[in-house]
Order: sequence, then structure tokens, then C-alpha cells
Amino acid sequence: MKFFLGKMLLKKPKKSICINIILLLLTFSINPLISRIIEVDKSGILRTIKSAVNVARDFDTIYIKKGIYYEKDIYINKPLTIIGENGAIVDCRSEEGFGFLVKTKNFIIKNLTIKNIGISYIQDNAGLKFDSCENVLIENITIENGFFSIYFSRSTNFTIRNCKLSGNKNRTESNSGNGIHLWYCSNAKIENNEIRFQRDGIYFEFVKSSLIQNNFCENNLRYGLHFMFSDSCSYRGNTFKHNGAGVAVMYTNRVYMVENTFVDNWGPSSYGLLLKDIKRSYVSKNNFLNNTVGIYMEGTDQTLFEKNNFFKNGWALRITANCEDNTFRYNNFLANTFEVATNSSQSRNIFDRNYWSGYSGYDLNKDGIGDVPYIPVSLFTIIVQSNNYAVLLFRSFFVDIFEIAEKIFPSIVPKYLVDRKPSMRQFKW
Amino acid sequence: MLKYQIFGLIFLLFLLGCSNSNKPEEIKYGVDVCSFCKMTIVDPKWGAEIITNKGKIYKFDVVECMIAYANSILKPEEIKSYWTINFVKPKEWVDATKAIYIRTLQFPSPMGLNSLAIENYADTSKLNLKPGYEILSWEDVVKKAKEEYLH
Repeated sequence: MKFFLGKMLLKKPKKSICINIILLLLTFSINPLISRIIEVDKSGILRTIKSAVNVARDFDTIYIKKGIYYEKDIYINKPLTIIGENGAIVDCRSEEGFGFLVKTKNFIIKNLTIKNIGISYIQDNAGLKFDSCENVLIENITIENGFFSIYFSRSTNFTIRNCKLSGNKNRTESNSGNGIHLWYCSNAKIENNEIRFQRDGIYFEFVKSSLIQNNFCENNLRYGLHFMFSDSCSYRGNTFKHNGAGVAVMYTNRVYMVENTFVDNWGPSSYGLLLKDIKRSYVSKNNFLNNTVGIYMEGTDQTLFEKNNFFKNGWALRITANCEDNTFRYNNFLANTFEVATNSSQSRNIFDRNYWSGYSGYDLNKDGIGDVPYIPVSLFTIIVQSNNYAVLLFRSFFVDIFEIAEKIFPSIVPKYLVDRKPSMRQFKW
Repeated sequence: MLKYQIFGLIFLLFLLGCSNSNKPEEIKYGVDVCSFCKMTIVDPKWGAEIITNKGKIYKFDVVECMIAYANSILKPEEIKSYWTINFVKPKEWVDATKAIYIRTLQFPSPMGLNSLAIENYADTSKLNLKPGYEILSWEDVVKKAKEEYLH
């Protein structure tokens, strides 16, 4: 037995040595196929990124040393990895054109700052522009004074992660571009980015099966997130703060909107969330805080709204007459000026077991559900809807008397929009 | 005498104010909202407007929204004129029924019909068009918008 084992031990290394030698030989023979690292250095042999891209073969890595590179229109049509050293900056000097234009599969770009992208009214200039790409990773990219920042068209399988994008503070809507712009794309993952001073923070048009996660969109001129014709996408855990008109989700089926925060979207045509022509979607555990309108809905069908918090909004919900078969349950409505406004004359949506801070009913059997149904549309909401300026009279003695009279003898307020089982206690979500 | 002159002036101004002009109004980008899709209008290349017989002006972010609005909310006899922005001269208005439309994926439009409007063929020189575009008339655009956008 001992002898046998000894023989085995002796034999084994011999075999692996053989294999190692064969492998070594093989690696030497395919040496030209191994990727190289090409350095770009202000004081080196290759002083521009463009020259490095020209020299590079497929699957090489370009390492950009610290320094400011005054370049634009860097065109990439082969699979490459581009990595920047800390302090590597590409400055496009606000001239017409783009930073990088990529048309390839398998591309990685990391740790780089791109600055001053030129405005164009015809072309959508971008810091990083991708067309017909596959398998792309963008990580730790900072874009300052951008027009469009990251722009993808007709691409699939890509990730944009930990990027800081910002436009120019002093621009108006018509001469600024979007932060992350996707057009005819699929399988995209956008996470942990910060986007400021762009036209729309994140823009989706004709995008399929994509995920937007944990991003922070602030002070964008129009929408924090703009989402059109993009079926089966989801966004969760994002914060949209103080954007021109909030977030717009339009013309889409099956959108999953969870755990987002919509804050401080104030203005005459501003919303926390604008839903238009949305079907079979899910809105849950979102926080709507300090918006002119929490959710504005038009043509929204078969959607479930549950466990959301509406806090200190002008209107928590505005529902137009063409919204059908939506369910609102287990939501908290706290300290909103108006809770629900509608121009509908029929009941087409279900309100069930929500907590309304405006509810003043009682619970005699102590089951946690109010014994008196609650109508969240107040009389004054209806008056304001038909005459905006009447809002001046809000909280006046006169209006209070009207409200009390209406509560005792309901006559004007629609009786169909009613929560039959209002919760007595606030939910904790 | 001066009194009469002032009165006359006021009367003239009054008449001017009343005149039902058929000129499109400038769009306030970032402020005005599209009457159909409710989006804030931001892109100065694509705006459109309808003027009704009563003189009311409806503003749109793009021509397909204008067509959708005209065909779903307004009545045809209410509409006096259709206007669209010249894509290459974003401050100029073109009569939408007489404009030339170029449909190309090179210039994606806000609502996806991708049909830009220009006044005449000379304007195409600025566009640097690549093969694969279609030239459409107003009737074609209306048909396409109804088929693809307003289903």
C-alpha cells in the first residue's frame, strides 16, 4: 500500500510538469494574442489618446496617465479597455463634437474625467456616445459641463455605474442635453450614478428589460427620469430631488417602480410622478414629499399602488377620468393640502385600507378600520379645479363652514370615490 | 382735441388686441407644456402649434402630438391652421400642411415618429443626411402618425 501511494505521489508531479511545459509552450506560441497595456503619457512616447487607440490591437488596455488631454472625436471601433489614472482628464474645450464615439463589442471605460462638451442644435453631442454596441461597462466616469453626457443608441447588455454627470448650471432647457440617454436599447443596468444640471437626468425611449437602481438625480432642468415606450423596465431605490417637472413615465406597459423618493418638485406644471398611458404596472413603497402633485395620472390602467407615503404635497393624487381599474391600498396620506382631485364622474378605481390624516371618523369595534367611509375629495378641491384662483380662499372661515356643511349633507362631492375601510393607524413602510 | 386723439389711440389698440391673428406664438421652452402628451417642451427643433378659429393656440412638442390632438380632441372644423418649426432654423415657423417632412432614424423625434419638418429642399443641405430616409408630405405624416402613434 505504502509503496503504491509513493508511486502515485511520484507520478503525479511528473504529469503536471509535463502539462505545465506544454501550456508554457502554448502561451509563448500565442504571445501575439495576449493583450498589452499601452500607456498614454503627456511626456511619454504616446502623447494623445487617439494615437494610442490607433496603435492598439483588439482587447488591449489603454492606460491614461495623469494630465489634461485636449482631445475630442476619439473614435473607437475595436474591443478595448480604457482606464485612467487619478487626475486623467479629457477636455473637449466646448468645441463642436463628442468625447468618445464607440461602435464595437466588448468595451470597458473606467476612472476618467471628461469635460466641456460642445453644444449642437442638430447633432446630439455627448461625452461618451455609443452606437450599436454590446457588452459595455462604464464605471467611475465624471463628466463636467456636458451637453449630453452618456448616450446609447441601438445597444444591448451594458452597465453604467458610479458615474457623476453634470451639465452647465447656467444653461436653459433648449441648449442642454440629457445625462444618460438611451434610445432603442435593451438589458441596460444603470446604478449608483449622480446626475445634476442636465435636461433630463435619465432618458429612456424604446428601451426593453432594463434596470435603474440607486441613482440620485437632482436639479435637472426638466425631468429627473423620463421614460417613454419602454416596456418591462424597473426603477428602484432612486432619489429624484428638485427637478424642473419631476419624473415622467409615459406610454409604457409593465413598469416596476419601487422604493423611490420624489422630493421638492415644485412648479405650475410640476409633479412628483407623471403617469400617462401606463398599463399593468406596480408602484410601491415610494415616498412623495413636498411636491406640487404627488402623482398625476392620465390614461393609467390596471396598476397597483400600495404602501406608498404621500407627505406634505399640494395634491397627493390627481386622477383624470380616463384612468381605470387601478387599486390604491395601504398607502399613507399625511398632511397633504388636497388629498385626491379628479374630474371623473364615475368610480373606476378602488381605494381600500389607506391611512388618511384628514380622516376624522371613529372605530367602535376596534378592528383598526374606521367605521365611517372616507371621501378624500374635498369640496374645495372641486371648486379649485374649476377655478384656480379660488385657492386664495383656502383655510378661510367661509370655506371651513362649507366643508363642514358638505360633510353633514353631502351633495357636491362625488360619493363614488370612497375608501370604505380607511385605516385608523398610520402604516410603517 | 388731445382727448379725442387719446381715445382714438385706445380704440385702435383695442381693435389691434381683438384682431384674430393667424400667426403662431413663440414657444417658451422649459415652461410651456405640450397640450397632448403633457411633457414640458424643451427641444427647439421640433415644436408645433394649432390655431383654432376662435384664436386659441395649442402648443405641442412635436408634429405627431399635434396630429394626435387634432384627431382625438379637437373637431376638424375648429382648426384654422397648423404650424411647425423649421428643423434647421429653429426660430422660424412653417405652415405644417405645406412643409416637407423627412423621416430618418438619424434624428430621433421626442415621440418617436422621427419626421422632421423643413420648408424647402435647400434646407436639406444642412442636415448631412445619410441614405435610408423617406420624404413625406403632410398627408403621409398624418397617416403615419395615426397608424403608429394614435392607435
